[in-house]
Amino acid sequence: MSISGLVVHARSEKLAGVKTALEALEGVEIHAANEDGRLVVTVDQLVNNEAADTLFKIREVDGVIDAALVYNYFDEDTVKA
Amino acid sequence: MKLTRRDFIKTNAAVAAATAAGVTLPGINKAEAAADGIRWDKGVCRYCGTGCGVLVGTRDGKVVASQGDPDAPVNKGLNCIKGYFLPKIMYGEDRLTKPLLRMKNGKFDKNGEFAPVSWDQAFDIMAEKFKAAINPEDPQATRVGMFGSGQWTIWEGYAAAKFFKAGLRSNNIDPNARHCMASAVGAFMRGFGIDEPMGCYDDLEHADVFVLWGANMAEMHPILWSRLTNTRLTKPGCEVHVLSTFEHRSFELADNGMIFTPQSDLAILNYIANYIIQNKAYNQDFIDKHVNFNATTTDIGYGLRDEHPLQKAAKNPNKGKFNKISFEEYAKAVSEYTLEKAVELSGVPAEQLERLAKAYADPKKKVSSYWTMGFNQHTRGVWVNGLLYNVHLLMGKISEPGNSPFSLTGQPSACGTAREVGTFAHRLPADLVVMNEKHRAFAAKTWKIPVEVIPPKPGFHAVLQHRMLKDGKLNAYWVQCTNNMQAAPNMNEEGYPGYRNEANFIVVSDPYPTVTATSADLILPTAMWMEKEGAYGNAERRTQFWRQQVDAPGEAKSDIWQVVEFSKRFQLKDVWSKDMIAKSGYSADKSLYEVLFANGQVNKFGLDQLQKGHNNSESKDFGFYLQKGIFEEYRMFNSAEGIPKKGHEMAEFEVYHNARGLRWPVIDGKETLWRFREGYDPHVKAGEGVKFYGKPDGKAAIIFAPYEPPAESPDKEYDLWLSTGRVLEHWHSGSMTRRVPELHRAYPSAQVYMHPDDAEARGLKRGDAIKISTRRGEVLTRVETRGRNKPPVGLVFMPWFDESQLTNKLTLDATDPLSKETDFKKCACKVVKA
Repeated sequence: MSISGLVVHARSEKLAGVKTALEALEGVEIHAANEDGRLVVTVDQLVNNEAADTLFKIREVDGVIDAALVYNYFDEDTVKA
Repeated sequence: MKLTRRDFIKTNAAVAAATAAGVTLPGINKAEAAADGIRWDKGVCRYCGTGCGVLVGTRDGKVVASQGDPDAPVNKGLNCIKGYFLPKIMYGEDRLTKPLLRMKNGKFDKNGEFAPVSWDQAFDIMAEKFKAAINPEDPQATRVGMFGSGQWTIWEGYAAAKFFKAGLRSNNIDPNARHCMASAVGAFMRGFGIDEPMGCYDDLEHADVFVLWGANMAEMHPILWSRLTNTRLTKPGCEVHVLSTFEHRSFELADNGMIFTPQSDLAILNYIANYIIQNKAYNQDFIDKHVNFNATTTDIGYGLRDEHPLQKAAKNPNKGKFNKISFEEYAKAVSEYTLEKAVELSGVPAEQLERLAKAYADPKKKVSSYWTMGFNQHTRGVWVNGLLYNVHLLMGKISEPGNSPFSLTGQPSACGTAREVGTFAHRLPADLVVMNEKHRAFAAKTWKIPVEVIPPKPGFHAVLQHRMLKDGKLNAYWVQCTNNMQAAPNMNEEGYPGYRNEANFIVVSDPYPTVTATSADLILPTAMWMEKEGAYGNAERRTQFWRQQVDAPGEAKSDIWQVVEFSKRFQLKDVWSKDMIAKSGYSADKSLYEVLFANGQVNKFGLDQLQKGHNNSESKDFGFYLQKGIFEEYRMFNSAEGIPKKGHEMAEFEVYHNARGLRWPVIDGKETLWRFREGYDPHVKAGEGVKFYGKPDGKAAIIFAPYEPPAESPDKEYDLWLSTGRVLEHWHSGSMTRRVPELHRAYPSAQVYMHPDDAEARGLKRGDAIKISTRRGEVLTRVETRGRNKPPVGLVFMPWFDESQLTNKLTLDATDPLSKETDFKKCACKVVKA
């Protein structure tokens, strides 16, 4: 299990599209989205490698300027199981 | 409703992110952290020069977790994607744990295979080879050298520089920061007489306008980019200008993105200065009081070997002299750089250049300029750095919140170690230089050695070291904490032949079998990052410490242990002349260890002062608190009474273990955010306003320099520009990040980014195998016509992190003749289908 908290910066005029694209990614949840383009996002995935892939995918979403990690929880037992 | 464990963790994650972003989450209270048996302690990120604070989580002798430190002023809890995987850099499968020596039939053989040896055997052969390259009575015949690192901790760099300059009597020590920061240093010294930025990261929240000159902050300094982005999105009227020779990720935030022809940044900057003067926008009062005008010597060559035709053609090769001129003469010099000329040379549309010039010229707008390798890795790197200072100085937009010309750094301690403790071939600690008799005398007195020991001439700089290895004039050579075979230019013609020259013995210290290590004769296994007590100095003058968190694997030892332990192998009679020994009062059989480290200063602090609960492997071996002793001796150069150059003051050792870093000068326990300005910098007295006290007259130097063409430009045969650099996922040569499975998977191989039209003209489709070649070498790779980097027609970009595609077989070893830093951004190449 891997859970991360991220701050995502998006272009405000593309915010709606960014939100749709982010929500379409597996394990991604938007907790807050300011009109100025700042989003609070969590990524929750069972397999750690996939979590990493999701983090990279977020950066590639059209309209996303930047995604910074703030928090991560990493549970090795779940990976083995 | 009862929260599940998963919900609980997720809430923690969301709250932490919201707090860092300054966004409120309705209806959620901060949850308590779960107890999981992990010990958390403050640390500093291992990668770039940003200097993010990270919390390092240790369990059962292993680093198992890290997170952005919410109390760190630099990153305020944020972490970049590389930082996320930080703990994994120490646990690559091929970690080196024993010294390895090339052997045949049980003996050292330059053409033998690597075999494990003991530390004793390793130091035996190393001492034999180094002693053979030293003549105590004739320093001219001494042929030893070292290549170090902006990733060394502060005490590692200090110990190595002292060992060479005060022990082995050689200035042939240089750091890899020569490849990244030397041009910035040159411009600071010429313009201000003292190194490093006047502003700090707080400018990221204060500026109205941001200008990026040859810096892709979105990928290379992601956390600073987050801060900049936050300001751009939340501050009304804030705008971002981005200049580069190709479009990259930072353009996504740009209000004014400009692609310019390589080298024409020189012309653009002179045009902006001209615009400011033509429109009488300059700050007359500031200029009158705080600035003088100069013009630099021109036609200075390209830092190539002396016999190179370009060097022979130059009128004033390697000359840095600049002479005072009047304001009128300066105005006349820049008047040649009209908008039309800037457009013609740069290819940037007129209205975009004008918009940029207006932003600098508007007295109401606070402007922060950032640059990295686009400026520094430039055959006119010192000039171009200086031309930007000219613009800021004309407007007086400097040394105050938001008005900040700011040179970013690429390595975690390029400032703190490479620059500040004197690891360059011409430097001594705290901005002192070997060429200055008074500086040598002060250093010798502090080190308790005769002044004659320190050679008065600069030693071999980075690029010259490879040339001298190839020519057989540098025979015993030690590389620590850097992957220079992969990183240095023109590997085919200079680096590799130098290492494999039969006359030379090459030692490389590294945690991993890098390209450099495997090109050596002896490999020493190195303890890294949290396996030792450390200190880094970041780009905003912030000195940060951490404690040893875990022990190194196997027999791996830290760089400082290696240097200090190796110094025991030399007696004074092996290295100093009879006259010097007589003058020193030491006996001829005293070891360098006793003279340099067990000298009553470095060994002054006992093991009782070590922090309980943390190991300190080196101190336990030597029997004294080594890191503290080194740091306190270093402070005799920057903080004691009667030092030759003020302005680098630092606090006592213990203060840093208790702080999230402090920005020097630190006086009376207080750090300095903006230098040279009254009210912020204690060196500027009441009533002085601004004082550039690094210069004897207290004035900064505006130095005119013209546009001069690059060393190599595309022609009929080699018809494309080649620019090299980095990608977000990998740090530098990839020796750490390529061993993190997630990062390797995210960006496994280097590729060549090319414009679709250029690809089509060569019959190439996206993903095709190609051969890229220059006059110096060729590399097989693949072509990418989409993706994050979008070069214009006529230019390709290739990252250099991939050891299976050695980009530096292609690059030219042309350097800035003043800073000796290589231009990795411009040479001519061709691309064909493989």
